[in-house]
Amino acid sequence: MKMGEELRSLLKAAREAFSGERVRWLLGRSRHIAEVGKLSPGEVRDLITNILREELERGRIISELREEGPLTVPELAERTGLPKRRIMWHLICMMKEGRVSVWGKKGDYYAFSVP
Amino acid sequence: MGEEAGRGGEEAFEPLIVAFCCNWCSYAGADLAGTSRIEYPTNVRIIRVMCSGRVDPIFILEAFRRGADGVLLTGCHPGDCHYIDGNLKAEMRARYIKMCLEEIGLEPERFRLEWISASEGVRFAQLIKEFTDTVKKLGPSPLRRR
Repeated sequence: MKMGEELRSLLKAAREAFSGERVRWLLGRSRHIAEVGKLSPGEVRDLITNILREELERGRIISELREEGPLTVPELAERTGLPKRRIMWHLICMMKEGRVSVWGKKGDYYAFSVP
Repeated sequence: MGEEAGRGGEEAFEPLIVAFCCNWCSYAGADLAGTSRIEYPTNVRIIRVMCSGRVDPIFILEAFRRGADGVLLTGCHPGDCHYIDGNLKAEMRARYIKMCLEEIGLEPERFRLEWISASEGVRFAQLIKEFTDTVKKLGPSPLRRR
């Protein structure tokens, strides 16, 4: 069982995820996706699980950036416990969506912030 | 002493349950349970919403974040929704919420979706009893403020 503080921050991340466009779109369309029948129920479940997992991780990154200000990839990795490569990938995806932006440089690393 | 303290703690634990009830069926069912003088645990705090489909997953997550030990979402039986398919939307969301709770490490059994019609006062009381027992067995939420 996870400790209260860790769970609280994960719940905050879940809140971020459920407020985001991607999960909300999925919530609205998943019945249609299932009804169209192009994907098997297992595939639909996998798709939803993967998207939810990704969005939870992104929610964690966003809530860290929102609370702690501009952070670098190693700092985010330390705070979230996620691998640096995965954080970088999430940051690039979120930059494309305009959810995060490059704030400037902290030492040798670029720092990211929520616009 | 340890056993006694443990038993005492278990006995002392009274879960806090938040129930979102739809106006047209479940809330009327809860009302019927009350007017019929059917006893059910006082652990539940009922929030009336116009439709179970009105309940955003964020409401559920927020209830847990604020320390609810269990969250119950009740709506009309499928096919009886006042807004045609609000309850089916709620059902889909409930699946996501359970997956999300599992993912973050909170027992998904702490959240439950049930259908209660306006005539099911007895069923409502029974559900509250059952759910209170389930949450009691799970123990206090790690997010509960002491």
